This record gives sequence, C-alpha cells and structure tokens, in this order.
Amino acid sequence: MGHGLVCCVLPDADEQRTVTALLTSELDVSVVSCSSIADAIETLDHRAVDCLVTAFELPDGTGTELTARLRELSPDTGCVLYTDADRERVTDAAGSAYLAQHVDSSRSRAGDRLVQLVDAAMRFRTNTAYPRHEDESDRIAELDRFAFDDPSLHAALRRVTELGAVYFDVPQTSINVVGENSLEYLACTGAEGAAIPRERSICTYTVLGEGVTVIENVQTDPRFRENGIVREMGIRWYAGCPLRTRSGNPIGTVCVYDEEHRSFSDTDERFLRLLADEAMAWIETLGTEGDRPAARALPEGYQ
Amino acid sequence: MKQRSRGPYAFPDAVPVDPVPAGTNLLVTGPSASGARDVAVALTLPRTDSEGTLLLSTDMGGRSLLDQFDEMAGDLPRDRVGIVDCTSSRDEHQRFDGRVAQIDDPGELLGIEIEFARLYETLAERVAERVRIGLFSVTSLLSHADFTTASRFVHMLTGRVIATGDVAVFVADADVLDRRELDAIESYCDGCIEVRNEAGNTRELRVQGLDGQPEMWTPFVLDL
Repeated sequence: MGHGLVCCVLPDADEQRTVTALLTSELDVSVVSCSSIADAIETLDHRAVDCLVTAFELPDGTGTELTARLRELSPDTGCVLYTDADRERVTDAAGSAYLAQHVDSSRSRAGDRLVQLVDAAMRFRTNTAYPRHEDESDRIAELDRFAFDDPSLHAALRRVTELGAVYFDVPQTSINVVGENSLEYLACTGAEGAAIPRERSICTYTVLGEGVTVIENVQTDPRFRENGIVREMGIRWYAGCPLRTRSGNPIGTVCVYDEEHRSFSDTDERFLRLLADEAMAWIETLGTEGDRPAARALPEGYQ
Repeated sequence: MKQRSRGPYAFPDAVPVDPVPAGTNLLVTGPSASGARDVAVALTLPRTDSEGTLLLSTDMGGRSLLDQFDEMAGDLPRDRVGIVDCTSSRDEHQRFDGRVAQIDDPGELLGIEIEFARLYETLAERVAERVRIGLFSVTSLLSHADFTTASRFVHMLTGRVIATGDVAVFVADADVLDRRELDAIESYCDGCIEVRNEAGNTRELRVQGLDGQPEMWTPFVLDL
C-alpha cells in the first residue's frame, strides 16, 4: 500500500511523541495526534484513517468506546488498544461483540509490537471480519478504473435488474459494486438501499467464488443468521453471480433475492450468468472514462 | 526495530509436511476421529531451544490440552509453554498451573486477545525467540461467539502471526463446522492440512494451498 494515515489517541504527551516518532520512522505513515475521544471523532469524521491506536483511559471515556465508534464508521479499519490496563477493566467497558488488537504498553517490546501490528493491519487489512479476494489489490485497482456516475449506465443496469425480476419472478434484484470497504447498489428493483459495510453483505462472499452462489436459506447460514441487514430485508433465498472484468477480476455482483425458498435450475443459473455478462458489458462501455462519448451515440431509449 | 529470525519452521519427521516460511498460518481439519488434532499438536511442538508454544484452549481445559501434548511428545518444557485457558471449567485440577491465563468463556474474544498478547510477550521476553501458536479449536470458538466477531478474531490472529514471523495452527472439526464457516476460516490461512483416517486404521493427510507440499493423500504414523 502507499502512504498510510494513523490516528494516535494517547493523552500522555510524552507517550504520544514517542509513539509518533516510532511509527513515522519505521513505517511509511503520517500520524494524526489526538488526546481525547472528542478530538479523535472530529478527525475520524473528516478523514479516512488506515489504523487507530488508542490508550484505554481517555479524558472523556475509554478507548473501547472510541474504537466501537470507529467500527460503526469504518468497520474494516485496524484498531489497536495500546494499554497496560487490567483485562477486566477493559472487557467490562467493552460490548460482547467488541474486538480490537491489543498491545501491552508496559512491555519492553511494546513499541516493536505496535509497529508490527499497525503495519500488518494497514498492508493486509487484517481487521476485517470477512475474507478478502486473493488479488484484492488488483481487484480494487481495476474497480477504480470505472466511473459509475453516468445516468445512462444506471438506466441500462436498471433494465438488467428488471429483466432479472421478471425472469425469476422475485421481488428484489440488484447490481452492486463490492468496494474496498462497502457494497454499493448501482441498480435495484424492489427495496432501494444505501451502501452497506462489506462485513454485512452476502455479496462479499459471492465475489470470492468462481461462479454462481446460491444460498438456500440465508436465515440459517451461519455467516448471516445474526446479520441485521439481511433480516431487515427479509431475505431468505439468494443467488448471485460475480461481475467480472475482461481480466477476470470480480468487481461486483448481480443478485436476486426472495423471501421464500425456491428452486434454481441449470437454465436459471445460465440466465443469471447472462445478466452478469450483460451488466458488465454496460459497465465496460459506459463506465470507462475514455468510452463515455459512445454513450451519447446510443439510440434513444438506451441512454 | 529488532529483527527476529525469519527462517522456516520445521515439523517432526513423522508428519509429512515440509517446513513452512515464518509467518505461515495453517488450518488443520478433518472428521472427528481422523487424527487432525494430533497432527495439530505435532505441528505446534517447539523444535529448538529458541522456540516456544502458545496455546489457546477453547474446547478443553488447559491441563488436559497439555496432557495431550505430553502423551505425544514427552514432557513439554513448561518454561516455554503458555496457555490461554478459555474453558468455563471450575475444576482447578483442569487448570494448567504454569504460565497460564484463564478466561471463563470461549466467546470472550477481547479477553482472549488481551491475555494472548500478554502471554506472547512473556514468552518472547524470557525464553522464546519464535513462537508456535495453536488454536484448539476454531470449532469451539465459532460455537461460542457470533460469526462476525469470531471471524475478525481469527483474521486478526493470522495478521499477528504474519507480523511477528511466527507460525500458527488452527484446528477445526470438519464434522461439526459448517462448510461455509470452514471455507471462510480457510481463506485467512496460507494453507490447509486435511487429515483422514481410512478404514479406521490408516491415517493420511494432504496439504492444500502451499507450494512444494504433498498435495496427494500421504499416509503417516505419529510416532514422535
């Protein structure tokens, strides 16, 4: 990865200086220094950081409160608790689903360990709650090649989702981009949705597969049964196919959902693959900067 | 920053797995009676005086887990072993009376992370230049915590192993764990060692995902 940004929330000024000097000398990072939760939230609300390093005792709360807040804003960001506080005090202050990496700041090798964990969290994104694609960097680089703001593209993709809804006779279909940290809907039939964190998205797993993913009962799938977003959407049955670029990278998905269990034939699978190919063809045509003028040459009704 | 040895980790001759680079995470899985757990024990044994072993026991008491190690390889040197005992057993005889941290719930992942980090530093400061880490077992961890948190925990642990240049072994019971959960955990690891017990008397293993390792089923006898 390139130059990183670390937010260090250490109320002790000497410790802040020491840790900042260590991180900037050992890693290719800049450090934003904060001394309180309020100070840090101000920073985190305006800047995307690659890793948070926080003490446990903060003037206006605890490091676990701050980390929990960051997980809401950016679930995949690396979080390191740098503290010598008793385990019981830390765990009592944290929720059951709370998790951050820990470095005991009183140990002789605490500085080395902090550098190692911050480095790994930034380079390998080891704080995510889901597996990443084996060529994630290439995948994201290729995704960045596309722009998705052309209304013609959205109209075309919308037609693809409607084809899916009619063929499968399902209430919800969508075409999505699986970005570095979130899933964004490019087109939907049925419920419209805002972007959701990747750790809450079924499609996070679909882009890892070679072909079509079918989940007979999402509600009992151990990966999603406690997923509030899936429950709210009422999804029981799911089928999704990766959107692959010409070089084979999966940048997103086309998927269909149903509130009831349904069968899925070989012909159905073929049709879903065709929808994915069609969606990707439109993205390659209208979502690439150099090809934009072609959009204006499309026949009326196709823009 | 002080650099540690980054040489490969070797395994007992009885286990047909070639040495792996420092920073490798291995999933060891198989049906319940396949011997996968014994293979994981063998892979986690310290091989040199500069190596230590740090165990996370989530499905049995630390004392019992240590007994398993002793039965297979003689007495494990106590000064080079740490155990985060995550079982809820109140039977103190089950507790390992050496370098141990006690957590009363395998689902208390933050507590496990904290105690693991502390024991790791204790081993690193006093005796071990390099540490072999064993999670016994992923199956139990996933049954006590929600998938998202447990998944993040395992991912973080694999990241720590990469960062520190150690080796980690994650044991999973293929009979109990859902295949989809197993696939997710496998995705965090560099390789998977599958173990089976053909006809109840011939143990075999194969390695997936690691270059230069036996991909074909290979019989073995764990005579350490």
